[in-house]
Amino acid sequence: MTLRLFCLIAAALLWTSCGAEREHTGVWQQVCDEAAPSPCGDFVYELHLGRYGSKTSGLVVRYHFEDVSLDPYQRSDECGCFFVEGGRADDEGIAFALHRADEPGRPETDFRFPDACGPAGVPPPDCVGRRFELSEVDGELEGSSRCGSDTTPIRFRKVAGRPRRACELPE
Amino acid sequence: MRAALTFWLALAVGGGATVALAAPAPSDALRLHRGLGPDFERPRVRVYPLLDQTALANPRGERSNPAAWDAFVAALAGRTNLAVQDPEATRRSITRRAGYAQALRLARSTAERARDDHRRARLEAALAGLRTAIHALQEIEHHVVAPPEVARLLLLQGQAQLELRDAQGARDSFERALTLAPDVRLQPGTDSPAAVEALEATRHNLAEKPPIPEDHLRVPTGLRSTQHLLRARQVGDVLIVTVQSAGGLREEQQALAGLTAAEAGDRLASRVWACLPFGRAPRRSRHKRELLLDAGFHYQVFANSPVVDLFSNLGIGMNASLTVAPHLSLDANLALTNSNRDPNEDLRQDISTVRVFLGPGFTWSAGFLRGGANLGFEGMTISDVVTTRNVHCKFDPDAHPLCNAAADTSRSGRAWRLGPALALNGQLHLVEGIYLALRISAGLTLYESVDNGLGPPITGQLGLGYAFD
Repeated sequence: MTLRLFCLIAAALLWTSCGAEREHTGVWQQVCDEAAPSPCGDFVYELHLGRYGSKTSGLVVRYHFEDVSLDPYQRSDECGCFFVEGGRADDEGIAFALHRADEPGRPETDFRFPDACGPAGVPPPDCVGRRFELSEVDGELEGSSRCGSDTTPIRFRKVAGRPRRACELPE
Repeated sequence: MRAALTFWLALAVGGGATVALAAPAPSDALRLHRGLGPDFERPRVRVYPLLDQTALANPRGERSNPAAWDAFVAALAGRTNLAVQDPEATRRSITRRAGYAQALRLARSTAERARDDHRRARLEAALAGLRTAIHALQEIEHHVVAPPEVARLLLLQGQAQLELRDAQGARDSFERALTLAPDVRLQPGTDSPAAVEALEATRHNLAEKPPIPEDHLRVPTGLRSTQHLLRARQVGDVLIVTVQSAGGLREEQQALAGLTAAEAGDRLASRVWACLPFGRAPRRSRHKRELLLDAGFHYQVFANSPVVDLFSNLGIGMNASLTVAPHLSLDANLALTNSNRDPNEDLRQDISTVRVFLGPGFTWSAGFLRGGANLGFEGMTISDVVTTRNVHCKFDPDAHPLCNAAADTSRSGRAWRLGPALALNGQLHLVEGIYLALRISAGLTLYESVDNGLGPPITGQLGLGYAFD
């Protein structure tokens, strides 16, 4: 009886530090298989998110996409990196925009983007004001990517790994 | 050093002696006059019925006036420091003893068979049965309850011994019978003339020097130190009381001539009272010094915080409580905690806290539970507090372009604090010496070296402890 009481109290104390406010934190990759809501275009996105209560921060890495049968999330296929701004979060999902979408960041100072990324290896700017609005459905984030009046359905799947903190990777 | 020690020792001894001279112990009479508390431990005095041996010298067996004896018993009972059981109560207490009724029934049955054996001239069998029955009756003190019944069996035993030509044995039996009941007689014309003659001869011999009953001469084994027996006999105009205590015997006599019964009884009671212990006030229970040590999980929240939501701090706590007097303890508590993440993660690094509490406490106990309250002082040290409300600084203060770490992050250095604290604690006794301890406390801050935005701590501690005697 005493042991049970002790465990209950200990569990109650520990529970106070394990709330839902960290949900959505992690690495999410855009899904491009046949079940995806729409076919992927030239680029796919990888979200590196951190949720802190009702706010979200992080960065979005864009990769060049060629074939559904290949893994597009390779460093060599990276095609721009953008910070998150205006991120909001609740139990239903998250929403955020890209900060300085016209100035894609690169993983290293002398990183050469793949040719397919853009002319002469220069990554094209993303849509200024691009906004993601995503809800969690069965462990995946599903929603839309909006650019002006253009709205594209999009879906992300969580993958293992710690979120990347900066566009430039530590050496 | 040695001289100083001698001085203080002399002062202590001298002081003690002065106190002793200044406050002499009150006399028993004064203590009685002042009144005794309800818990006073009174000596128990059991008064046995009076043995009136005047009848031995009286041809018609007339008894003396028991007024002086009654006055003695009443006067003794009036001494409120004694718990006196009067003779009638003594008789009743004997008959209420466990096994008394069964033993009496058995002894009477044995005596009846012996009488039958005697009628049928089976003298040896009758004698054996009578000895068994008389012994059994005396064992249960039935000779105090009904002396004539046991005396008549002794007379029958003496008759049987006479018929067996054991004259000495018969005289002993008659003497014992007359010692128990001085007025017991045989029936001339019914009992044998030789027996009647032998009994009267014994009575005549005893009249000059009445025998002292065996009960009066020995202290019963197993008598407690707080218990005293009074056995009395009246011989002519003299009342003789034997006081039997665990320490031995003492006899007090009172001549009745020239005094009223009340005067004689009161004088004898005064002398007997003086030789009995007065009794004692209940001992103040010696305070049991106890040291309670417990340790367990410690939980803490700060009443205010520089971040949006309250955050918990978990760690370990140790508590020591030394009882220095009844209901008074000296308590110390040491707690080490580390902060948990706040919901918005505004705290950017863990906050470590070391807290020490010291203070007196009031304690109480009830069965398996023990509780207490402490009011004392608490000192604590809190490590650096680093906070930010900029979500991008939380993600990466160095890389995120929307984070200005210098402007968006608040830092305060290690803080020291001092202030009063109130603690409530309870202990549930589990098994020998081991207890479950719960403690909650709250404090105020009177002094702080650095204002880090954290309010006074509110704490809880749950652990296991051991009580050292």
